[in-house]
Amino acid sequence: MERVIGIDLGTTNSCVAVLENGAPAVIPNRGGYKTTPSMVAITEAGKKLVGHIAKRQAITNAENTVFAAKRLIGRKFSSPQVKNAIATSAYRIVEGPHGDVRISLRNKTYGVAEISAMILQEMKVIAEDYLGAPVSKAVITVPAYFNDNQRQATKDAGAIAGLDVIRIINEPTAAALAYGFGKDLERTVAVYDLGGGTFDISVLEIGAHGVFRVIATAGDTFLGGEDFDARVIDWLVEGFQQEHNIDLRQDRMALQRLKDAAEKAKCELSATRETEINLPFIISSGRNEALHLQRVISREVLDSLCSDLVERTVDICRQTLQDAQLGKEEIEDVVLVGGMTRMPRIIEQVAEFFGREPCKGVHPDEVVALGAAIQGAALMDQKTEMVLLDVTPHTLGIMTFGSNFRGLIPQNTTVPTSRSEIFTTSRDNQTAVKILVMQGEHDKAEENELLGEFVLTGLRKAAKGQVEIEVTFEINADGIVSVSAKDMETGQKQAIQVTASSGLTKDELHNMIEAAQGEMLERRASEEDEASKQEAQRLIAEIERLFPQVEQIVASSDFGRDATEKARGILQRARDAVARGDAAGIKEHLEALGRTARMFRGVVQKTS
Amino acid sequence: MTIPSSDQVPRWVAGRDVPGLPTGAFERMVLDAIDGQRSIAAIADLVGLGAEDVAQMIGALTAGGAITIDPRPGPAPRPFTSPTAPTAPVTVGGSDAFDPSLDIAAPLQARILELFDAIDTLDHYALLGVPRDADRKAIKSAYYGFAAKFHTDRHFGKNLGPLKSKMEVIFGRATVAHDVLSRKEQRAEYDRYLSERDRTRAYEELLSAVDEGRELFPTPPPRVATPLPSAGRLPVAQAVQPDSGPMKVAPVNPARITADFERPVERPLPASVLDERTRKEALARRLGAGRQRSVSGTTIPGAPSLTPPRKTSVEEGKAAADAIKRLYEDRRDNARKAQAQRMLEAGEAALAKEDVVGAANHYRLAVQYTDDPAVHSKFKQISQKAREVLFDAYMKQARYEESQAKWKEAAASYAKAHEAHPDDADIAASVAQALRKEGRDLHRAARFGELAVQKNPNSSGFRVTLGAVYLDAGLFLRAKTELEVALRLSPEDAKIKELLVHVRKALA
Ligand SMILES: Nc1ncnc2c1ncn2[C@@H]1O[C@H](COP(=O)(O)OP(=O)(O)OP(=O)(O)O)[C@@H](O)[C@H]1O
Ligand SMILES: [Mg+2]
Repeated sequence: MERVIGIDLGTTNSCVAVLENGAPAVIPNRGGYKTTPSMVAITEAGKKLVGHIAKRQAITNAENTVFAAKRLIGRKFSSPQVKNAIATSAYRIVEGPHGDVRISLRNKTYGVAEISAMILQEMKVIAEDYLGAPVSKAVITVPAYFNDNQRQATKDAGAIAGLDVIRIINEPTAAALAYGFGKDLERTVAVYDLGGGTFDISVLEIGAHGVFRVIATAGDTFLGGEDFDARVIDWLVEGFQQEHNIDLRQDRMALQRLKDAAEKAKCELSATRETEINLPFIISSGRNEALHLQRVISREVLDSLCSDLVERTVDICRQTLQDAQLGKEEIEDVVLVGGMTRMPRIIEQVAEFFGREPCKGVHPDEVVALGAAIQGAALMDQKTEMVLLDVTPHTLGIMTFGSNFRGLIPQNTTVPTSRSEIFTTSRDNQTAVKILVMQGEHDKAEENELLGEFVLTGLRKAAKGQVEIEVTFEINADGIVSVSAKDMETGQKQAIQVTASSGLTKDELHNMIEAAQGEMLERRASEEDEASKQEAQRLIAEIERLFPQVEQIVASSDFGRDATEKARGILQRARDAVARGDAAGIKEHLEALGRTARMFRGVVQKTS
Repeated sequence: MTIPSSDQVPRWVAGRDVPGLPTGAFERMVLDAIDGQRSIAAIADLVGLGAEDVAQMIGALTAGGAITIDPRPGPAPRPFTSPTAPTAPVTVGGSDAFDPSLDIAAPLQARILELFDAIDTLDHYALLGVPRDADRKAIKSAYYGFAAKFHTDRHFGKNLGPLKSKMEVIFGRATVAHDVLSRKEQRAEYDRYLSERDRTRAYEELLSAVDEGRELFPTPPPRVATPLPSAGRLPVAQAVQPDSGPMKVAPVNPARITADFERPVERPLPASVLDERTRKEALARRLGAGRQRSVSGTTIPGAPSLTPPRKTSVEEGKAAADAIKRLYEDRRDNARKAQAQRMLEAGEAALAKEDVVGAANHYRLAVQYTDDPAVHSKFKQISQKAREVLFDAYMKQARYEESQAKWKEAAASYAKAHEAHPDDADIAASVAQALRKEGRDLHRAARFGELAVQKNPNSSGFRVTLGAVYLDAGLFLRAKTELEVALRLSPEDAKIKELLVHVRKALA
């Protein structure tokens, strides 16, 4: 059976896992790391870099290195979160043709999904290298609080990366799967997930028959480690401003260095009480004099800079329990997920809120990918007794008159589900209604996310309020939303499947998929070329090493004189091909080189 | 002959004649106490005999075939007790039952179809296969078992054909059942609705029993012509009456008409909740003075532990025989009197608890032991009351179902109410309207609509309802006729005019 990989596509780090012999395992990348930075860069030569190599060159190539693309995915350019990202990012964020977000790198614009696709493709390659077989199916995780547009964009990213995304699941849910899988537990757990970009809280019940039932979920898709970093950066920038009256933000390279240093300090403060931030030659004073930044930051300072952020997460936890009508004492375990949960202040506050020490048994960076792999395996192979009952994180509904929002399926409803409600017309002789399908918790329609729209026509002409229209919402287990509207009088019906919009049109998506496919083929081909070249070089070196010996042996006999001659010729042509970088030529000579090397080895062995 | 144990419940076999049974006084007492609900122990308690004697007697009666033994104790209409395999009472129509092209085993396919077909008739407990008193844990476990079986993810990537959406519907319903039953207030509200429904069933049974024993009612009690006060106004035909339609439930605020959509029609709270108080008060009023009487502590004579009269040797003398006979008759009369007294007291106690069904049941037994006209007339009165309460209950049920847009159920409930008040045009129109919304049997809808019009030819509303039914059924000419009459009755009605335009267009 085909293997399904689980990918945790994180804001700062991504991770891939697979189920092996019934147990989920994280797949390390080529560098041996279990997580890969979610960073993409384009070099001056136009080369695409993903992961650690992209991170390593970020400071010198800040404007063309994308980090935290997840914060932009599926959002509208006009949204406040995008405004915020524009202000803090060194790379250029521009408006796309559909009010969507694009990223401009070295004069080429990319859809956010395309950037995410590069990361996903990297994860796919990591898995393929490890499994030694092509991989086409994946379960990808997203923050539980992502709306449908963000989910759709993530799916699109998967498609661009050449992956059949069989399911999108929520990160905290995935974490709970990994926590409870195969343990035969029956308990209610809270998953607190604070990563690089997002915060999620989910309460789940793990029960008999391998059921994982999400009771409630909430979060903030713009609250994470990046915001903690930003607080430290602000603190550094302000201090510098006071001291030197220079705004470090004006210099993109300085900003990138600050960002790195701030994050590093933040992480160090999880282990030590105090650390030094040291950035020599951070900027020039303008009087031909270089300025240095050097400051000591203590854990207390970090805690106070970020106290409101931590408080916000606790507030969301409180609200979630309240909405679910659950008491803290009903939570039997607390699972911490995400790199930020290593921060002592966070552990303390979570423990204090829930009145218990969080569980120590899960690895905060890997657990999400592991859960995704588990879900993938359970879907593909029904012998794995596990079923996940997830909920809709946001209320689904329609716009009613006066620009009001009327929810039909409330948040935290278990899917699959369907609900109907009867509405009436609002104008005299209204023969058509436009159904605007929206998602969100606000009473005012415009505050919510628009998912799609359609028109029900051919209504009977009547006074306002006289024509009854039954609107039905349906969500299936794949999270696909269908909406239908029926004129109660005539029985006329219209329905759509709501395809949330990722900001890309079908054509654009199609082109991106094709382009990525092409690039992937090229990449695989060039990897192959590289491997042949290395093999050729290895063989050339071996032959060269053995040559004097072989020559000697051959010289003392009549045999094989043309053999060495021939070998010399092969060696020369192969060297030339390598020097020219002629991939086809190298491949052509590989076999002859191999033969010669074997022959040389044999000769030397025989005579020694 | 097998002798049943005392916790078993004897029950009449439908269609068997009582006259074939022995009719000794004790047997009769026992027979009268058999109601399909009481256990043998309860019957013994009621008639004042020892449980073993009663068991023996019933054992003998079962041999005659008119009575069977129900193994389950207690009165509750228990649903299903196996959490994993709730058995729906519905059989699936044969041929389309199994589709071999689907990747899903035959038994599960059958199960899915069975559940799907029965989904509207199964209550939350029955669907999950748990008893009504199941605790949260049992409900959860049943639901999880359900999920493990019917969730489409358990069959991911398989060809499920049309079963996929059916499974989604079934699972969605199970989720609702779980969610309702695991939340305290919601469960309480739902239980109230269910008990209302159970009550109507119990009343129904009672009344059909009463109707079968028609000799007790030389003339059937007159039926009330107008709805009971607590039954309230009916939302009949209003959907098409411009002045009082259900849209009025959520009145349009003219100042706010700008967008495409009116806000939704608000659904009233379930009648079972709204009317609880009113109902109780009305009932209390109707029950009048009989309320506060408590069961008196009179010791009941003639309820001894008794061995059946042995066939002693008659040769011992006529006097002795007469004495025995007298003794026997005395005892019998005493027993009958005591029995009547017991029944009356039990009946009063039931009345005090506002349990009209129980009261009527006890009175039904009591009138067989006494010729007291007061008791007979009280029995009539209570039976009548039971009918009214039943009618009331149906109306409430109908309106709850209407509020949940369960048109099929609403139509059935209104139809029941219509049986009680066949002359009430409003109710007939309600049936028509519900049937129309359900949209399955427009012929029947038309019959009820026509009935309403026939009962009250001068109501334009009824004609509009009927017209709308015709319209749905594609009978445009008839629709036109009805609507034209309606317009003549209410010439100012814009709504009718619009409908007529619609009809004429369809005719053109
Ligand atoms: N020891 C540490 N102490 C404090 N913070 C840390 C530590 N290690 C990592 N972090 C922070 O955790 C964040 C990354 O966490 P993680 O890898 O879980 O996020 P992610 O999965 O990429 O993001 P998200 O889940 O929000 O999309 C970064 O902000 C990082 O600085
Ligand atoms: Mg994460």
